[in-house]
Amino acid sequence: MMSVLQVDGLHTYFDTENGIVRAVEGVDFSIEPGEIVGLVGESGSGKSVTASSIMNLVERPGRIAEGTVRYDGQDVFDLSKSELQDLRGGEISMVFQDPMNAFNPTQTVGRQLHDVLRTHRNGAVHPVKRILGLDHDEDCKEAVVEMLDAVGIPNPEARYSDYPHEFSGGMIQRAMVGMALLCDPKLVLADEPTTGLDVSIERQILELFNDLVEELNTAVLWITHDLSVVAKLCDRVVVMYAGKVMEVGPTDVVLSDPANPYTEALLDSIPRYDRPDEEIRVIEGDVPDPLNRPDGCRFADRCPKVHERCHDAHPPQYELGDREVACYLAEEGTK
Amino acid sequence: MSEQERSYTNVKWRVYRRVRSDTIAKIGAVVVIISLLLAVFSIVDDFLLNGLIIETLLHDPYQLNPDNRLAPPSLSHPFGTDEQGRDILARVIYGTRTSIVVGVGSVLFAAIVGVSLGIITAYYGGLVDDVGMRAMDVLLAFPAILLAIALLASLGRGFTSIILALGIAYIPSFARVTRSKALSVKSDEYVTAAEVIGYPTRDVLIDEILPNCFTPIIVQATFTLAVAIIAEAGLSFLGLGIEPPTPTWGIMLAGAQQYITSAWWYSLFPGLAIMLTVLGYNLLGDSIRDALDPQTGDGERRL
Amino acid sequence: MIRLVRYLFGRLLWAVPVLLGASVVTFMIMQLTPGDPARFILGQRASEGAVMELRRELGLHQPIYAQYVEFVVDAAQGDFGQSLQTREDVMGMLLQRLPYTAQLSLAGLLIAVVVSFPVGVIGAVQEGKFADHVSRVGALLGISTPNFWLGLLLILVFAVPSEGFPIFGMTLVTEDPIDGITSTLLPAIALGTAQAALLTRLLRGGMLDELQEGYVRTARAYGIDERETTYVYALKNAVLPTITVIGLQLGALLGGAVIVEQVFGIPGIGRMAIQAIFNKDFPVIQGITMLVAVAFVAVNLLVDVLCAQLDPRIILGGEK
Repeated sequence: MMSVLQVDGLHTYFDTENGIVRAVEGVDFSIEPGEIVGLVGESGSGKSVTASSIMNLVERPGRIAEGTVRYDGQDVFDLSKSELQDLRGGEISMVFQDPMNAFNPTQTVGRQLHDVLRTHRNGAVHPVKRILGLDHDEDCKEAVVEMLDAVGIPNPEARYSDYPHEFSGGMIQRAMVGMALLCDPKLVLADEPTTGLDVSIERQILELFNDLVEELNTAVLWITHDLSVVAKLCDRVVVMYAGKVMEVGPTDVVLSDPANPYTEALLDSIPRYDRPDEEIRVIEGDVPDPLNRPDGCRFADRCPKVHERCHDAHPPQYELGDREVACYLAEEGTK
Repeated sequence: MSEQERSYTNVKWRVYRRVRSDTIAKIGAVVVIISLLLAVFSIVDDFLLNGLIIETLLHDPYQLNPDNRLAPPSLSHPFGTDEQGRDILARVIYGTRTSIVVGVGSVLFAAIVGVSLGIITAYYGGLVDDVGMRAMDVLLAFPAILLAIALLASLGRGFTSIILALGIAYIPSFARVTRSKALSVKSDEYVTAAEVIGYPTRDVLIDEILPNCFTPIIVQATFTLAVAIIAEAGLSFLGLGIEPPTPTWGIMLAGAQQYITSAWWYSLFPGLAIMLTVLGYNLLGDSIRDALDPQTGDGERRL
Repeated sequence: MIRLVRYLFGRLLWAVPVLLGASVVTFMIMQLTPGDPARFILGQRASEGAVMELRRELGLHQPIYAQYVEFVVDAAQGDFGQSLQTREDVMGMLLQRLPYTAQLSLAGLLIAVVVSFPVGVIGAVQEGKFADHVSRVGALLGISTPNFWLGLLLILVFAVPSEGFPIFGMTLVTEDPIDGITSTLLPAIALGTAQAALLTRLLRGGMLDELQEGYVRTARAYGIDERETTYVYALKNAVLPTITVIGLQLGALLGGAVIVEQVFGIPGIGRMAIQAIFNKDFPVIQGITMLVAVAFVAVNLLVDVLCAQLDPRIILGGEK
């Protein structure tokens, strides 16, 4: 079966006054239909830029320097403007962190969902027509109300005409999820969608996602810095550090038996309720300066298992069972 | 160096770098510096040297010359002469000081009163805030220029009156800008710390809050200066501002109005002087704002 | 609806102390005059009897609080007394002159809005390109040009060579629409240019800010047409805050009208104010000042209500 998404050698750079920031430096992974993949990393690891790159949404001063992103076998960077518009929201959609900010404060939530669906069903309209409300499509509205209902917003008919600020944090994120699923996409990119929500609402959103995705057989790339969410939700996990993929593999294997010292360090740095006596170990040192990253392994300066070779070049991906690991230790098989 | 001292020098450094690196800012700074130099020159030359320098270089700006009325621009009179035969270039140069003195004076007055009001209302809040801000609302109920005109009606003409009249009219803008900044600074940790340590309130206001409000105040002052220069010219044009024979751009334009059909140079050059000077301050204001505003610090977007 | 009424009521409650304060300021205009205002008005050579006469007429023999109360009570009924110069009723004079100033100010506002909206929006959309540079330079020149000098230049360039534009006086559109428009055009341009420039800068900045907002990113990520995002979503949000500014600009326009009326010889309240100041005609000055304050406060009240109606982010009756 063909992967929904195949990312190969992706490099995304930002040209700044102080030099080139290599936000993403060679990222490879794939997503199969219906699969939930976690993309994990600290802030600044390049995970959000990876997501924008997949939809070719990177704006100046950023640029895709190298690599391909294949959606259903088709290279996203080769698409024409109109094909890209069909892809965005129609085939791949995105759930943003801070949904309150992702909605327009002066348009009703229902209307914004309506505009997405109308665009993908009937196409764009002239701004004047839109201002006068002549683009209104009753079928679209009905579908939106149904979707609001499906994502668990009570009284969806009335909520359709409410403004974003009239929604609670949890409800607005449900609406965002509804927007993402509105056009039956094959892939949803969820960029830290539960950051900032309190724990009980986070769990509701996770469950909602799990159920809907299973029902619709939608693949998901779930971007997060929270390994506990990955453990609960994801089939596979991609661990990123400083623009590079450190380890890819099935969630249970990676989290229970990490092959890359970085993954290990990341796991050690989160408190475990099942092992309350264990010391939380903070990763020593700082994330490397994105303008001035080391030539060798990006993690070498902070790695407890560093050896001489690590400073020469960043390790390639070594296959280790059903996972891939970017660490020289994996090659030696000594771990 | 203390934390806020460092942030203050940092502010100065950012503005300096910005002005050095940006051509537009440089033009603004050059115009502003020229205007200040001309103002100082005309004061020194007029009051200390009795017009010696300008007479040697050009002509006496006060010297009537009935034989040479409304002469068009020539080598001897590059900007032409007015209805009394006086050299317009010399008078435009001497006129700089009126604009600068009134502009700087009224902005200083407005800033001192407005900033104090803004900091005090923000710090004390409650009734003080209500009364102070309501008083600002009252001043804002009048268009600034009309308020100045009304005040001039009772204050009479002259430098002090016009500085006072414009100064009062510009108080609310400084008070509001300072207040909103002070409100956010007030809750910062170092202010709370100073209060907890038991610093006298006056020291907290002057040493802790005031330096951190400088950024918006400087921006406001630069733009208000530009507005004040136009306002002074307007009031003098109406005959409510400075009294003749003191050369001012506004009075020159008032004189030029009568001869609009016969002597274009008379109305052109004093107006150009106003426009260029004001443009300089606006350019500088834009650059300072862009340099100090972290949101737009990366480019000249908001110009 | 109930919320709107309550909001309106709250705003009216705010206006009352502001207008009372404005009346104090207006009242003080005469009190601030150094020495005896009656002597000031009549001059040094006037006889003691004449000064006493005027003092009585102006109510200056009463204690100051009684003078103020009388002033406010009369002003609230639209009575500002008689002109010292012409003995005419001040309110009557104001009503006769007001249409000219209103026509000039509104025309100036119209020009400001009609010019600034497209220029500001195009500047933002074309950021960094030629059109943007032109609009930025134009706006900078606009805010740096004094309206009376621009008026003189317009007379020099347009009115003097052609007969089409009168250089003196103004016809009301209600009397003669064609003459009304031609006689208003040049002064309105002189008056409106600075405001147009200010609005352009504001709109450009507002649009640029809006185009950075999260919802624009969302719309892009969902394949919504860029024109729809820019001209429907972002434009609306950028325009809403400028409505308040347009209300405030009406004040600046009224102030500017005082000067522009002088340039073009328009018989509005501005010209009347200048004459009154030269004649030390305090009742007229007070009448004008108060009238403008009332108009200004009323307009801003209306604008606030309008904004609250249009902008769902403003919750009526609460904090913005």
